[in-house]
Amino acid sequence: MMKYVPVVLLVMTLGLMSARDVAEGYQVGDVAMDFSLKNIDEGMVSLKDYSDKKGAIVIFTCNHCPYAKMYEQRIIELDKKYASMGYPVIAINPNDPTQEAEDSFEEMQKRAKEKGYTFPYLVDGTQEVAKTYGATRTPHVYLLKNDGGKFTVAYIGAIDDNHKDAKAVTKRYLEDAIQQLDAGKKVETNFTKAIGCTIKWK
Amino acid sequence: MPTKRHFGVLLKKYNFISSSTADVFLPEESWITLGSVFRLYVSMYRFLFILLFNMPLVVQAQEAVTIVKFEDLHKELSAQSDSATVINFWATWCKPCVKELPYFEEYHRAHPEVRMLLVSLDFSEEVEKVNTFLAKKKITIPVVLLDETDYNSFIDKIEPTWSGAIPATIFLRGKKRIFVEHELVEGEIDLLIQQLNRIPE
Repeated sequence: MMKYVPVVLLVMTLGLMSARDVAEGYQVGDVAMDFSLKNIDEGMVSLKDYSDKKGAIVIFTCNHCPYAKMYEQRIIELDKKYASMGYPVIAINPNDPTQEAEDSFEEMQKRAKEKGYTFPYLVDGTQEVAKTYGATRTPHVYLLKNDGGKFTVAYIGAIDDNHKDAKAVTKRYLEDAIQQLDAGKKVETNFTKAIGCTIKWK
Repeated sequence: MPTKRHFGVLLKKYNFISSSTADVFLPEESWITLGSVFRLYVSMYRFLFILLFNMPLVVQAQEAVTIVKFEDLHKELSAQSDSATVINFWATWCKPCVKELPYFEEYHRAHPEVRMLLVSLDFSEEVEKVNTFLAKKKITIPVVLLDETDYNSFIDKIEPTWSGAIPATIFLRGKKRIFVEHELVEGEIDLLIQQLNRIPE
């Protein structure tokens, strides 16, 4: 009987894993949950703190991922450009730091200081926010629109079409979406995909 | 290992017969006979040498990684084959990918009839890093490096349910297909291949 235990465990793990393969989380148009997450300054940040803004750019990102690193500077620039327009960046690190030491709270504080982050960099310790949103990789962007206090999802996906070279970008997926949203137009491309690092689930 | 050893014995035996019989019976003077005995030893050692240093080559060594564009990969993906094909998307910097890599290598060595391809999403500027990594890990599965930027334009063409996170693996046989977007555990490749085979035609 005991010899079947590993097999049963394996099948159970497979079951759990394939459940995660099914596309869950938000779709464009859904109302995003509020959260209260710890920021690198030890304070708590919630979406309701942004109720006077037009929206927010929620980006699931982290320290260790090469793709996230390549977008660091672009995320800083996005905040500089769009925070004043009413769309500030909220960065959230969903990774389990026991799997990636580089993604620990202390390392997040260090990186934000080095790079001069102008936006909150939050810890999703329970990973509940990432799971509810349906984030799978870093970086993974959710552009939210403030609908009278309710934040609805307006765009999900990539920042642009060239991770390697910001100067060679031809399609600015996120910026186009923000501009269309701000102009009261329909967001034409409201969902894109990109290669990224898997979120390190607990 | 017993098969290899058995093969080695046969080779030595073959060498002993083929190179020595002619040599031993040709010479009439003793010093030539001594020479032929010497030659016999040399040829035996030569075969032993070939055996020792060439046997590992039965398992083919990894060739340098080829850099490809999406179109090349798409051809590979749409090539229908009666045998199972496994395509794994990975990168040297992706920890879960590196963790599952030995399972692919193990399966590849045990099941040469299953076609395997590793698609590296490392950056093309760092192809040497990938080559060094593969040599160190003794990976013999063919590897290509996908050099693309606008991922959104082709991820759906590879697999509509793929979010873009790696590791991700496709199991194909004819029109049958299984896609997984997670780190595989030991024994899972075998299970997934069985699952693939059970899908009705």
